[in-house]
Amino acid sequence: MTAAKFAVVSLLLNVVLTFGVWRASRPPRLVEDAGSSAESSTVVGVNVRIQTNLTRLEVTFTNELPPFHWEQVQSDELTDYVANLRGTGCPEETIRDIIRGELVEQFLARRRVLLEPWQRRYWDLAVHGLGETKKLVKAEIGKLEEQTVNRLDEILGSPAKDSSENEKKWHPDARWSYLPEAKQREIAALNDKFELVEAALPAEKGRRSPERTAKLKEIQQQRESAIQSLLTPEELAEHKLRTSRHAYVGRGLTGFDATPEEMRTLTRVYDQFSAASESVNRKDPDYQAKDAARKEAQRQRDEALKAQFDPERYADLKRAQDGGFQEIFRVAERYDLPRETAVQVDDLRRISQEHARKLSANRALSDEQRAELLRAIQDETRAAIRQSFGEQAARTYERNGGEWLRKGQ
Amino acid sequence: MLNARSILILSLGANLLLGGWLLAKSSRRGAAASASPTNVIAPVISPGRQALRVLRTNLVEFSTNTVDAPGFRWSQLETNDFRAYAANLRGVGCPENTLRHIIVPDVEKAFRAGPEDDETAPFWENASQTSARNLAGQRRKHAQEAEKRALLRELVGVDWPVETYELWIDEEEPALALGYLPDAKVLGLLAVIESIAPAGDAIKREARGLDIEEDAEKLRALAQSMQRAALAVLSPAEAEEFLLRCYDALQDDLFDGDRHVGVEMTGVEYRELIRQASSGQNWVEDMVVAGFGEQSTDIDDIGKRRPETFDAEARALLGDTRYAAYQRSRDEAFTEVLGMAKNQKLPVDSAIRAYDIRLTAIEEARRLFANDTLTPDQRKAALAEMQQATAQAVQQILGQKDGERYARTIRDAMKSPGNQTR
Repeated sequence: MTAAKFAVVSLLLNVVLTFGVWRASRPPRLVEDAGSSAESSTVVGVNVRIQTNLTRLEVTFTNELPPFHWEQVQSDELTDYVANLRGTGCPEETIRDIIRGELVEQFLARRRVLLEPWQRRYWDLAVHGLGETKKLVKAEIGKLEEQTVNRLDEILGSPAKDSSENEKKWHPDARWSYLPEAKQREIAALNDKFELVEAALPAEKGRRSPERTAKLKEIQQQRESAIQSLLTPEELAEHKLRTSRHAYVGRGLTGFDATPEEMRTLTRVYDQFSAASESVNRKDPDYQAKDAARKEAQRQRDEALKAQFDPERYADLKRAQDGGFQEIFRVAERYDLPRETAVQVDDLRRISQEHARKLSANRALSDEQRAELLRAIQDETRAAIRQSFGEQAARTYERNGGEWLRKGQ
Repeated sequence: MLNARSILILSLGANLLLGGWLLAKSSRRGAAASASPTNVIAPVISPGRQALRVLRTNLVEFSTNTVDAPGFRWSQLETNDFRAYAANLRGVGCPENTLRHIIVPDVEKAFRAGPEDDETAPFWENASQTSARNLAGQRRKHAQEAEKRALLRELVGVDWPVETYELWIDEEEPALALGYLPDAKVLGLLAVIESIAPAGDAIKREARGLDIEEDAEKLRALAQSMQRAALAVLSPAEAEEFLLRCYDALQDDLFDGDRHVGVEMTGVEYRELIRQASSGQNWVEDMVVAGFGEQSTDIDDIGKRRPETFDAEARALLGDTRYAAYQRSRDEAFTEVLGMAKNQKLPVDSAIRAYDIRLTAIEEARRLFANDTLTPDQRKAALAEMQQATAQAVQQILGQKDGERYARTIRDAMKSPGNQTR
């Protein structure tokens, strides 16, 4: 090949490369999508697609505020103080406490100034009493209160919320505690309803009229039947025991520690012989007959109780009803002594009193002899009680029910 | 003229330049593509079109703005942990008194919400169970109160019971009686006095209604500790004034009615009189024992006691006449006739004259009973005559109705003049 031919080929290559340089040096055409980071695509020319991911980053810079200081909310103008506190989201109750505190401090400072002249003359005034001074001071302090502490609601713009509504909660009645809660609530609602009916009765002055008494009795019966209609037979039986006037007999027994079942038994027996619990008026023309009937009922009740309790338990029951034992038991309980110790001391008391009773009845003895023997019994009993109770408890007993142990008494 | 050889050389040179440029351009693109993994040149096929490659580019646009930080919120301070709450409040410069106003009601509320004493008791509960439940409830309450006060002391430095604080704000009588002291001292003092209540109640509770000898000693020790604590709050002069004012308040009618009617006394003299009356008495201890003990001591009687030295000292202070007037003002017989005179709007002098008649009549009756020369009948007749004359004299002063009433009391006193105080 000649040089001319090589030159032609080279010139052609010149043309191709020149075209390539022209293509490569053209800037790309971009089409942006409106979306911030959406991918868009377009075809550049005939054979190039440009896909552009546009990421828009927004960076927010936050000022660093100076640390909070109480002075930012505090203000001598209390309405501003309230507004500032509210602005921080401070609870209303706390705002009330803060502002009341401020007002009280203002009040106390001004009251001090007000009282100062009276304080200088205190003893001069005290000679004849501070009654008049108190009246004058009260009036002045009243004005001061109006200017300070009594402005609380005005400054806050509202009175304090009545918290009693929020605090209202269900207080179950022990008499109904054996029932399911739903039933207890039904009974409570019934009671509320009948109380309203009673309250709606016209008011009366002085003694209650027979009409009112009859009406109240009628309402009471309605209430009772309404309640009873809600109860099963078992519940009704328990209800009757719990609402009996003798339900508290078992509760009052000192040193007996009755079980619930024993207390129910006591209530049932006392209900059965309710005439035994009746009081009889001595002025009643039928006093003798009524008293005899009562005593007979008491005897029958004792028999019934004997049948219900075993002998030992029955003896405990009778002891628990004795005032003398109750005093001894109280002392034993105070000094954490066991019941057995109280029983022991009570036995000593009974024996001693029995001896004393026999001595008093013994006409063969002179007064001096009797007194001497009584003193001997007393000394012996006191020594025995001190041994059982211990020195401290015995001394306490002698001051509380055991006065009979003191010499000469 | 260029020959073919020269054209070839120039053309080859041009080829080298153009080829070099293209190579350099393509190597720069390759480097850019490897630096950004998303800048991938990938062949894609576009339907219906000739697609040679896809050029992916990532563009990142930054925008910045500035906003104020959210302001302070109360919730940043408040917490259920009282210690942290107090620390947070102090941390933001909350003044101590304001902190007290915030914390104290919150603590009080928290302790009020504690377990209740009126929990429903089992219905069939025996005496021992009731007693044990009550005792446990009272002990729990006592422990809670002690815990609350300890917490308040720790948190705000003071443990004034809220009731004491309210009493100090609301009542005029303590304000008058204790207004010579700064408020903080009064509240501290009242807190000391109040602080013995739980301990006294505990002794009373544990006594279970029994009068126990050793309890009186415990209560006296309690009163002594209270006095020591009170002295720590007050200066000696303030303490002396406090005790004198308290003892004076135990006398009758500090805030109601008239005292020492018909007696001329300066405040300085009266203060000294009260000092003499209270001197040497353990009346604070007696008050505590009477308040919490089971012994039947009348608190009113404690203020009426006088030491043995009192009569002589008071007479020296006031002189005979004014001392007699002072004694008269404290006599119930005078108070009675003073009340009658007041009701009838009579001057005080009328009451004094009627009272003097009474004293004279009793003195004469005393002489009459001491006269052994008289027979019982003579004595009886003389007494009746004296009673008649006394009644007439009193009625002239007080009028028929009140005169008769007062004369009746004089008649009774004349029957047993030995029992009457001179």
